[in-house]
Amino acid sequence: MKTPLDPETVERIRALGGDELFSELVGLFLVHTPERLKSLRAGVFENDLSRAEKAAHSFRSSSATLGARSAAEKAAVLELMAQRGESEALRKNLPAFEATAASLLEFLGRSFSGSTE
Amino acid sequence: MRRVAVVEDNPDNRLLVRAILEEKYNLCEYASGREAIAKAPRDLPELILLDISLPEMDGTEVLERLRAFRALEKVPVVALTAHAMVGDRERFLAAGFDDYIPKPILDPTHLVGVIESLLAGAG
Repeated sequence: MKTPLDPETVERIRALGGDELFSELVGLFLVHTPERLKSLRAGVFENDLSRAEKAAHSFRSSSATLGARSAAEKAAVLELMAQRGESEALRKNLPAFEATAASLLEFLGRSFSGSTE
Repeated sequence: MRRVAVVEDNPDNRLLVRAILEEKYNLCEYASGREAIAKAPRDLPELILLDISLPEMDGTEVLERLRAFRALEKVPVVALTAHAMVGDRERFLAAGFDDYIPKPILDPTHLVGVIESLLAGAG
C-alpha cells in the first residue's frame, strides 16, 4: 500500500525525536481523530458550522503534523466550506472526506502496531 | 533556563513543541486560552507561543487578555498558525504579535531562532 504520509515530514519528526516521537504522534492521532470526526459529522448535520469548522481544523492540523497531506488538504476544503456557511456542499463532500480519514486511520493503525512496511 | 509558554489545544502540536524545546527552556504548557489567562500571570513566562485557532477564545483575544496583565504586557508573544497564507506575518504583527510561525513546526532551528531573537530583544 502506498503511504499516505509525506516521507520528508516523517523523516523530520524522526530527526526530532526518533521512532518514539513518531509513534507518540500517531498514537495521539488515533486517539483523538474519531472524536473529531464525530464532532465534524454532528456539526454538519446539525447545521452547527462553527463546530464543524473547529473539528475540520483540528483534523487538518493533526494530519498535517504527520505529513498526511491529502487528508489535510481535504479537511481544509471542509473547513473553508464551514467558514463560508456552505452547508449543502459540506453534506455532499463529507462522505468522501470520511472515507479518506478512515483509510488514513486504518493505515496508521497498522503502522502503530509495527507493520508499516 | 528561561521560561517559555506554549498555548496550544492540539496535544500533538504540544508534543512537537515539547520535543524541540524541553531541553533548552523551562516549558509551561497550556491547552486553552482560559488556562493560559489563569496560569501565565503566575508562571510569568518570558515568551509565549500562542496558537491562533483555539476553541472558545481565539488567539487574538487571548493575546489581548494576556497583555492586560501588567506582568505580561511586554512579554513577546509569537503566533502559531496552520492557516499559512500570504500576508499572515504582517496581519499577526498588526494584531500585536511579535512574530509568526506556521505549523506544523518541524524546523527546530527556525523556532529556536525566533525565540532566541525575541528573548535577546526583551533583555
